Amino acid sequence: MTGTDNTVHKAPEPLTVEQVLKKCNPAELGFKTTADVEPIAGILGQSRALKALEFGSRMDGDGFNIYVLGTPGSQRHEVVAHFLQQESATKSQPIDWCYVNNFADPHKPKGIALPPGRGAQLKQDMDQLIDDLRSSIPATFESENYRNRLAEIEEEFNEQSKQAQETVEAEAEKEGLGLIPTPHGFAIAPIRDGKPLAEEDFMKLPEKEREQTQKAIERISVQLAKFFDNIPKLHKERRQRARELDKNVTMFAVGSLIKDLREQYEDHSTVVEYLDAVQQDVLDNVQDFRGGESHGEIMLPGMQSDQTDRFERYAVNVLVDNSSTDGAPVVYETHPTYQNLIGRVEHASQFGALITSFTMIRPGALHSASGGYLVLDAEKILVQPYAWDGLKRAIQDGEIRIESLGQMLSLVSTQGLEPDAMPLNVKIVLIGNRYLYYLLCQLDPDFSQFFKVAADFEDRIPRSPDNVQLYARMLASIANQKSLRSFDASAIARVIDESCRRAGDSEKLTARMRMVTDLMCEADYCAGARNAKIVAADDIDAAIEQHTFRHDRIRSELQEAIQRNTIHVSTDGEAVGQINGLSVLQLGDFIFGQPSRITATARLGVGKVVDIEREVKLGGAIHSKGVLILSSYLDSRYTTDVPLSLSASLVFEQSYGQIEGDSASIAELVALLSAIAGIPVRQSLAVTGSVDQKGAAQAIGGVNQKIEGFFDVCSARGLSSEHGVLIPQDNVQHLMLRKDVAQAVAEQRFKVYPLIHVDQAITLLTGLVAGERDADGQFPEGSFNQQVDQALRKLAGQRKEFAAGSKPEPATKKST
Amino acid sequence: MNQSSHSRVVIWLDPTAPQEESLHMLTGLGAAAEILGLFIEDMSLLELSCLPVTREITFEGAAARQMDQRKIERQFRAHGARMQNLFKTAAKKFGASHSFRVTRGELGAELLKASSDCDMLVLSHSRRHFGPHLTIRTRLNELLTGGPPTLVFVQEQWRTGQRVAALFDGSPQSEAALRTAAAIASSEGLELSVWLADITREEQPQLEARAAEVLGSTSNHTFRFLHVNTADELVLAAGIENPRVLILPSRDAAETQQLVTELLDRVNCSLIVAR
Repeated sequence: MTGTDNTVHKAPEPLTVEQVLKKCNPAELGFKTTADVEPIAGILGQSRALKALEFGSRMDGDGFNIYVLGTPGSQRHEVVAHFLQQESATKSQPIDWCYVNNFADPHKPKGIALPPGRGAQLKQDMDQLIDDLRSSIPATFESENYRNRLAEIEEEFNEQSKQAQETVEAEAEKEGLGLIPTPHGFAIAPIRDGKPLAEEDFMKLPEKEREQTQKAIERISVQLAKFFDNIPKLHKERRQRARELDKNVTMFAVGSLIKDLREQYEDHSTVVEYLDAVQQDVLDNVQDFRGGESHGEIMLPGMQSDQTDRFERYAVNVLVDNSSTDGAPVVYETHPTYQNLIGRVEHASQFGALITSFTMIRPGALHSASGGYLVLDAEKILVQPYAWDGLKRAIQDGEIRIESLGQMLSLVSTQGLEPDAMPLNVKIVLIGNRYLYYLLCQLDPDFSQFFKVAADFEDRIPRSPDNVQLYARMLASIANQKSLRSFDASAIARVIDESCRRAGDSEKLTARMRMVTDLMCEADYCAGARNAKIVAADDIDAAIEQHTFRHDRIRSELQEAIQRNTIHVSTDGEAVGQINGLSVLQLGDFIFGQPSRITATARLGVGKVVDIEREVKLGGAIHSKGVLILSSYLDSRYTTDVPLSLSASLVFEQSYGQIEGDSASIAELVALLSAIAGIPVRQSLAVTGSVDQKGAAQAIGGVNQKIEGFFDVCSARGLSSEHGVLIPQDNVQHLMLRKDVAQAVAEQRFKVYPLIHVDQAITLLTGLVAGERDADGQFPEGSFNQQVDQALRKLAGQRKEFAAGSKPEPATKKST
Repeated sequence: MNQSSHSRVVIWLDPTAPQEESLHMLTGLGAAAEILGLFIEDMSLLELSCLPVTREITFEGAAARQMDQRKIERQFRAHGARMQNLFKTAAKKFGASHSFRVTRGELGAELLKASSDCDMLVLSHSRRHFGPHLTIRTRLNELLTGGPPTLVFVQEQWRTGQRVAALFDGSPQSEAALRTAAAIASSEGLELSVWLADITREEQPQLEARAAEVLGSTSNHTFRFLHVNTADELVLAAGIENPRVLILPSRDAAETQQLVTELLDRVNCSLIVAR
């Protein structure tokens, strides 16, 4: 209904106590204490979110990951955990993933996928193989058979050398020459009686003989040189044959052991390929297995044993072991850094150098969750550098590629590892708040592509009789889970009342169960403090009271300031252009209401209503919108045939912070009209509610706290039947007032009036009939609206005169 | 290190053969009262360098070249210094007083001269390197007759074997050989194999008892019966047992010379001749 349809808005009756506090009846709960109640297994009032979770978890296809939206404390984590636990049990175990050495290119470790449990088995088998080889290969090389075969090769070589040497020696002897060893080879010299010929004896020889000797020496030199030239070839041949012998002997020891393993893993071609590579490497590096000697190297503190190094390359690094996983894995990563998600390659420091190997590859949460579910907190992953990008890249590529941040950002130049990427098949469940969800939708183009399923958790549950019963059972379950005392029915009813109050709606129950759980725990504490075995309603009240007491220092100070008139709030008498508005303040989780004095002034002007809050940039956009609506209301309701010729201003007195919202617009309108018409307003009443351009009252938030805020001020000064608050009719359903306020309402010491239209507020606040235009378009004589209309017309006249050059009469009334 | 069994040991530091094995062997032979490292500047090489027709063929270059006296002198100095360093480093392990001497002269004569008042002469020998030492071979008879009581021929890579073998025939020389063998076996943690030779089967128990008596408390030993004390028989036994060291008693010098010459060519193990 609007003011233009000429409906007369009578002053409303005050609300009854039942309307301001819709109490839960303990008798209707059907139990005496929670000990009698069967705990509830399901989740209450979240069918939308559960359906979304079910769809998201079962829907195959790219990007059907889930974003769980909801208010903190709304049991999103618990519900998701419970749901995924059930869902994962129906799925099969995912694969194991191992990294092994790439013998051809060690800095690119090979990945091997195996059925669950086979990864650990492969590791065990390889450890056993290497143990076996370490004992069997030396044993083979120490066998008499090997020694004999090696000795045969040696002997053959020695024979060849000796024969060649003897041939040269014999040739030399025939020529009367001898081979005399020198440090670097042999000297060829004439020999007489087994000794080299002395120089003088040689010179005594006939020249022809000397020449023959010289030619013979040159000939033998050539033979000897030829023999020496052949020695490296002989050595090479001997080494080659010794190597072949070693290879054959090793093959004898290795072949059968690896063959057994090959048969065990014949269904896994990657393992068979790997075993082939291992066999070849063992054959190529048999020396590592042959002796326990450390080749005489010096071991310094901090240096890794060469023995360990030598066999590490045959190890199997089981990155994902699902041998003991029951169904699909559900992984919660509470610290989703880039490395904790994607995995990392660790390094060990050795003498200032960083060394690494495939055995130092560590899994990330994505590895552990592959084939199952990964639950992450959206806010946490977004604040970790590169974690969000890393996650998206993994989802996009369908694989996990471990890259160190250092290398990714080119911060380090050392050669790192590039392990094979692991195939990724995971369902990501992001848990976050709504604000973040919508921000991501807006700002990250990939987000909607990768998180196609939104599981939106309700903040409030309808307060139907069935839901109340289920809610009570859920509270009983909480008491049971938290090992609290039993709660009697009155206590549970009181918790339900408080739940509605915190939901800000008498028709709703809060779904923020953390808050309710905390209340129950605190009540249990209070019951314990009085040695009670059962938690009663009084304990709930005590818990609420103590909680409020712990948090309301600021509120108390503000209340005190009002009582001491440091902050001016009138609660009796009348005043022109002044009214009690109501606002709410939120400090953390604690919300409270506070009355504020709103004043208005009006004088001749050009039809502008000034919002002082806006002018000084203390008013938000919505508040400004509310004030502009007032101008529009004045234009449409009053002097429609003459221009609006006033200059008015509105202000929240003694307000030094930001003001936002339009919940004071009815109060501001009444104050403005009072200032225009010079009609005083009752100060024993406070007003809250927004107004549209046609004067209809509209619902606002925080109605309970606002009423209580004014009640506390009045109560401290002494309640009379005059005190009360005017609220929009639409807010009546939200009323869940404090017990003491409800009590005052019941005793009619404090009144709550529901408003449909601003005219009702005018009537209640001024005691005058607001008045509607009659068929001639005139307001009833003496009515509030008629006086406003008159005052505006007078201002218009003054403006006209002013414009024509005559001196205007002084402006109409002004407010305080 | 075991009890000292040799009062004075001379090790010939031959630059033409690897010395590491000789030095290691020396530490395994038990402590000596005094060890002399001997480097001989071979006069014959200087003399050879004066002959205009003499040619040197080196292993690595395999090119004939004129021998140069100044170069030979330079080689002596360089090799002497290297041998001295090698010896000093190894000598720290000996636990005995040690000295290093450089002499110049004819090899055989210098060896005999230096070892005239010592108990043991250690010589390196390499089968892998072409040309067993001509001088040593030619002087072997002199060393066996006029040299020290114990002659050691160290083979390259002698450490591959797992046993110490001693030829025992009951002679005083073989008893000395057996005691030396026991000392090495104990020091190196090897098994001792006593080869009984030149006896009949009936004489075997008696000889075993005598060997056991000489060995005393040395328990880790076995006996092998050899029909004859010939090079072929010894090579065959060495092929089967693969000893690290074979210790022979010396009897007739010519016979021993022949045996040692053959064994040096045909077995891998080091040889010790006890006179």
